[in-house]
Amino acid sequence: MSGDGIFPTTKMAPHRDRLLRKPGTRLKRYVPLAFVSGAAGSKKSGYAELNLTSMVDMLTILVVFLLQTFSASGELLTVQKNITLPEAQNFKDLEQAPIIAVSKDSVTLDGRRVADADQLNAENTSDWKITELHDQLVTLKNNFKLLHPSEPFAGMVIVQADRNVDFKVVKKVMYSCSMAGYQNVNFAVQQKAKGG
Amino acid sequence: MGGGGGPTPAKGGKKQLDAQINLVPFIDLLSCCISFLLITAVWTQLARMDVTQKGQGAAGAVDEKPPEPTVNLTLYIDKDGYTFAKSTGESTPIPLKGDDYDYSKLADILKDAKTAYPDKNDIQVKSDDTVLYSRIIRTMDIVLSAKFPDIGLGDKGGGI
Repeated sequence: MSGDGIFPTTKMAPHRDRLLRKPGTRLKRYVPLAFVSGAAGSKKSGYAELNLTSMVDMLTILVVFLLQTFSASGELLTVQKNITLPEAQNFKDLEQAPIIAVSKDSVTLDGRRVADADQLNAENTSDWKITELHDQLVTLKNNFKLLHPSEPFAGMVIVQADRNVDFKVVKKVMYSCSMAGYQNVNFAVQQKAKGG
Repeated sequence: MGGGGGPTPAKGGKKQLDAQINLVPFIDLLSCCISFLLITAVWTQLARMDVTQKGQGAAGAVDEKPPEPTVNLTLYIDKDGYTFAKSTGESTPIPLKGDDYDYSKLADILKDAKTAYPDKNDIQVKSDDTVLYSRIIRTMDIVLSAKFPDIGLGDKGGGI
């Protein structure tokens, strides 16, 4: 380091010169801008006021749009990655029920795997029952009856099947549901606008 | 709301009637609303179609009055197309239109059937094993559009 310029030259107090140096010119705290000031020489405030009305308008429109798309029931059904739902124009609102997801590889009940592709595509037509699915549905039914003794059992189940699966797979799922006492089978669909 | 006043009138001068509403609380409120609605928004619009399985009476009337003798409507789906059949023995085949099913013709036939039997609400849809699920759903959608709300879905072979 050289001793010239802004750096101190003494060894004893290296910061001293810097601390005691007289400050140089600084920017003014207030700079009268030419485009803000009106007539030359007249003092006018440098504050510019933001017009908030248009911002409030925009926020109001956003709130109205989001309120229109608001669903009070929340998200009852989440679509799995490997499932593409078919579209339909005639539909009903979703309700709380056990969800059976049917993809090309597997069948899951509320996220638990109950059958795989080999079992689904088996050509054995004598037994359509998916045993694991049937047993878990029976357990769910018994749990419901224990927890809600005064309520009638609706026997409702939502089948969320991929659009490219064969009816054979859906048939086995429906049969298993029926055997377990779930007679009210519903198919999850994606809403499609009428005429679209 | 906190209304801000205009500039203070000069002594003896005319009092200004302009009042400025303080918009900052409005913006706060709207920002909170937007945040809440964006967090709770459900973007995927999902719904359900309900079916009854064969043999349970698509009308769902087990303990109602005994069924009157009436015509039963059945729609068969297989790889060659549709077949619309009545229990009277009348049957109308609807062959494939190109690679896909002839949905418009099906809609016309169902519309005619509804005109012929206005009190009829139930229909049986029986499908072959190899038919794609998306085509069954589309068929059911057309059946629902033709004002047949009670759809019974079953196997063409007679299993369910």
